[in-house]
Amino acid sequence: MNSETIQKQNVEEEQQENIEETQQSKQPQESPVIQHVEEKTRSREGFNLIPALSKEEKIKIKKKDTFNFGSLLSIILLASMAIGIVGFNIISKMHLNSRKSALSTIERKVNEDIDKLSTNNAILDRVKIYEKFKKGSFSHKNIIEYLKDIAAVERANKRGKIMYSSIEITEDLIYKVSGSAPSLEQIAYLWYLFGIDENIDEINLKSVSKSDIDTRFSFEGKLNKVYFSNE
Amino acid sequence: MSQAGALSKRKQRQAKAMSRKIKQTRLTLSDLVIPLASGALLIVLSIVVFIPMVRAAFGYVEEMKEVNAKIEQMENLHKQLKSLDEIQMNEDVLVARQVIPKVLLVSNFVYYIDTLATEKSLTVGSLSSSDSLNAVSGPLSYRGDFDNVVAFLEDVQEISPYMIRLESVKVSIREDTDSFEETWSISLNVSGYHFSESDDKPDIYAPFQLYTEYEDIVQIFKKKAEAM
Repeated sequence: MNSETIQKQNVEEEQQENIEETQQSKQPQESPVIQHVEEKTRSREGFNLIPALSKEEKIKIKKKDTFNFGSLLSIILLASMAIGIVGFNIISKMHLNSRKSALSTIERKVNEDIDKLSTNNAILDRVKIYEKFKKGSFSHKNIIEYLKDIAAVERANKRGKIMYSSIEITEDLIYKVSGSAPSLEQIAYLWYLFGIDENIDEINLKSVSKSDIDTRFSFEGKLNKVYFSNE
Repeated sequence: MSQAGALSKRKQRQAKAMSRKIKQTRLTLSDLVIPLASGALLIVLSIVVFIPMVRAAFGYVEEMKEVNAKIEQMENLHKQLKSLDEIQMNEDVLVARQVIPKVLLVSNFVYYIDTLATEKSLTVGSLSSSDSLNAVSGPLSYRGDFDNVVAFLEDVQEISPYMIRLESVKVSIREDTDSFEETWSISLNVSGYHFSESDDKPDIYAPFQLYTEYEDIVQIFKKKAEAM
């Protein structure tokens, strides 16, 4: 629009100048200065009525062109971003839907074997109970026989007969042993045997008493878990 | 003079034209409309459309990772279930349910213990049991000779068909002054376990383990079940 307006005005000026020139041609010859000016404004092919662009004008037009180009680029960028983002969104959603469909197919297959799963779990739960039950379990028979064997060592040394009156064993492998012996010396020796035994972690003499008939003792202690455990 | 006047007029017109051109090449607001409008549109679209869409797309990607992991889990589960021999499994579950039944009747349990004690020639001192969560338990006492008492302890723990736990075992020995025979009394707390299964459908996404990995324990169950 701007260039059209400029052209229109230039044409009007041209016409105006043409009229003036014809008027001037009827007049006597112009001065050399005027002639020189006229030659300058004359192009090779004719009169150049549109003045050349000045430097400032060129810079401004260049800036405008840059802006117009920038606008075009920004529109292209906007469109590309929109297409890219929307496309990515749609493709991701489609891919997700196809994977979900695959998941529901495999779930259907697994549900056909749900009875197998249930039976497997029934056995497995019992196995876990057994493992938990077995952990920390021990043989009471083995412990009783072991404690009896210690007393038998004393008997084998012909130090006299040691009699257990009671043996108590708890779930934590704490034992209480009470009984009688012919003499305090034998009780002391029994205490010694308990003390040096590597499978007995603790031994405490709880009580000892002597009477006319016999000498009674009571020991308490803790057995070695690793040795006596059923694991 | 008239020529000079015409020339100056022309120059004035030229100057006017040039200044008009300069004005026209100046940046005006209309030149900035498109860039500003597209910039504003970009910002608005980014906030309202693009950012939510990008977030949603990343959400889909994360969800897809989860779905892929689930597919892999289900495929493994399906493969493992297919590897189980159905007939063998049905036999094993019957055995396991015998050893650790869904319900353990107090009467059955007490009857078994008493029968075992009688087989070992032990005489009953006291016998009682009660039901509690997942176990039937109660104090027992028997009398007999040393060998039978320890055999009873061994059988109850090792070969009993039930899962039995012995607690607070106390043996006391009394020697007969006339015959010098030792009489052993045993008192203990006995617990037999049962397991009430849930009727709910198992969760296919729960961690899965094949029971065949515990073949040794299944064999122990079989031995115990044979004792019944």
